Amino acid sequence: MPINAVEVFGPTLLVAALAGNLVRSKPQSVRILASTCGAAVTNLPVGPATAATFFLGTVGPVSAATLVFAAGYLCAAIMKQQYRASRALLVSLIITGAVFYPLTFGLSNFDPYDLGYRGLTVPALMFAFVLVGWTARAIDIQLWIALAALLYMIGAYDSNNLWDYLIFPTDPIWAAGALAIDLQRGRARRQSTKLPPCQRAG
Amino acid sequence: MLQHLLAGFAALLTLIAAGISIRAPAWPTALSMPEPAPACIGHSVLDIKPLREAKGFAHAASAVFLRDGRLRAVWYEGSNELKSDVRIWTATFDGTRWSGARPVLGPDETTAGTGYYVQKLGNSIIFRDQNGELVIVFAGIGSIGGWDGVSLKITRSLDEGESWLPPQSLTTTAIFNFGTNVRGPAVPAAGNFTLIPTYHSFVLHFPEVVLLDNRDRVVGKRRIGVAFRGIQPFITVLNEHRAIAFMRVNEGFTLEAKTDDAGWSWTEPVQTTSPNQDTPVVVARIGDDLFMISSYYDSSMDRWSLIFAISTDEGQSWRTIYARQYGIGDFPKYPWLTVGTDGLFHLLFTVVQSDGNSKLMHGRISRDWIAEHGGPACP
Repeated sequence: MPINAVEVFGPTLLVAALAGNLVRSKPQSVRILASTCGAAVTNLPVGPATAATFFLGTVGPVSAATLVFAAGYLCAAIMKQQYRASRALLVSLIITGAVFYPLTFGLSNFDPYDLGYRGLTVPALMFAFVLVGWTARAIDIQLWIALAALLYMIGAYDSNNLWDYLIFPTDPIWAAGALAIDLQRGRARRQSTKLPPCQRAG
Repeated sequence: MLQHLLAGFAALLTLIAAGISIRAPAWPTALSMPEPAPACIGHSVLDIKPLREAKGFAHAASAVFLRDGRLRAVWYEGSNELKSDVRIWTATFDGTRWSGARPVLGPDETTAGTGYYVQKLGNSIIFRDQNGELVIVFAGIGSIGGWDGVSLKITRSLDEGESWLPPQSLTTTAIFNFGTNVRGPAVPAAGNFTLIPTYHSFVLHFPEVVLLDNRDRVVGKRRIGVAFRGIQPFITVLNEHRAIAFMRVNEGFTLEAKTDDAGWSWTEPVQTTSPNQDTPVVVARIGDDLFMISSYYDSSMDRWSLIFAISTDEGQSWRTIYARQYGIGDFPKYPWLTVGTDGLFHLLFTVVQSDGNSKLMHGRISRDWIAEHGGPACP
């Protein structure tokens, strides 16, 4: 079976991050073992396919943004830290997804997906994201764009469309959820700092 | 400091990606002219016979002529559509009889070739690419969804269809690569490109054109038009820049859209005068006229017919010259038309029977027969 290792890396990383987070309360060695086992299981053959090829056959290869998220969650699981994507990254993904995906459904004759095959429109958008990341001091945006550009340059996936390296349909949904949780936590934190010290301790 | 370094690195890589994107293949500026319509041969021929009577469902045949003059057909066949036992089948016609049919590709071979799990197969088209090799573009469905979850696969043969290379996957949509299906014949274009008429079937339906290069890479895609939600475009080339796409609709009239720039832009789809009841059509040029084969359901008689029609105004209005009526419960559909080296039109289509099984039919039609029935006169 011809395996595209870069495409398979996406589901492998996702399962590793998920497995590591499932045993988050265990010692670090267990967390590393769980992540490694998760990665290995993804590539074990089951019938004519593996879990990774099943994943790829169902939803296709993931974007650079998904890889950045998954890597962040995996690192956080292993280091037993809280992973928080920057708000700049989350907002960038939400806005891009909210504009891009509805148009690809065929609401009008304009197809933004076609812009990913050639020309400067999508690279210009990527430059804009680099600027946003630089202004907001969001390192994860730079990682996202650098990784997307790198994967596109080496033709890592079957696709020649830059959009496929940049964004995946679940990215904006994930980003919206993460942003909502982040905003909720921020509000709770602000409310707790407004309370008198004796109540805060309780 | 790290922040600035990373920003610079990301900007540099984006710059390189922009350079690659600018140099990506441009849309071709010209289409290849199709084979001319056959000349009259001096006698009238309309001969329609079964080529495959399946114990199950055989459907969506397409065909190409081989270098030795034989016709090679491919279709999908299984216990029913969207079943995991569906495979791509082939047979050849040597001018007098059809060879035995054999399967050439199934879901397991497709999974092994693409590295993506494929559970079911569907529509396929066969064509000769500009390298002279036979190519099949076919529909594959992963683990979820019916036709909504379809995506395209491609395989090629170096020995006129006797054996096929491991298939590859074609990425054509932004959402999980869902929803691109194929039916109409490929259109060769300048610069070793091929236009594949496709249609989007995930959530909303509309016709498209996918551009392939000679390394089986998708290098472009254009939407024909979302008006009336047509599907299964059939592209008829008028000259190197102009072509018409005819589309199937759920209920109403066959749609047409025109291009003057080799498929880059299309006029808004409009309704022709040809009734359409959720069945695809084929259209061939005969001189300045167009010859269409379609299916028509007469509700008063509860019978389907295969309709032959002529247009003298580039497809806007159609005049029926022949209707071949089928028995109650028999449904002729999915025609495919190609011009043979024997000077005849070769028509393939499916007759779905009331028991759910289907027959693949092969018709041979001479230009003389079309002229006798009110079509363009023999020159």
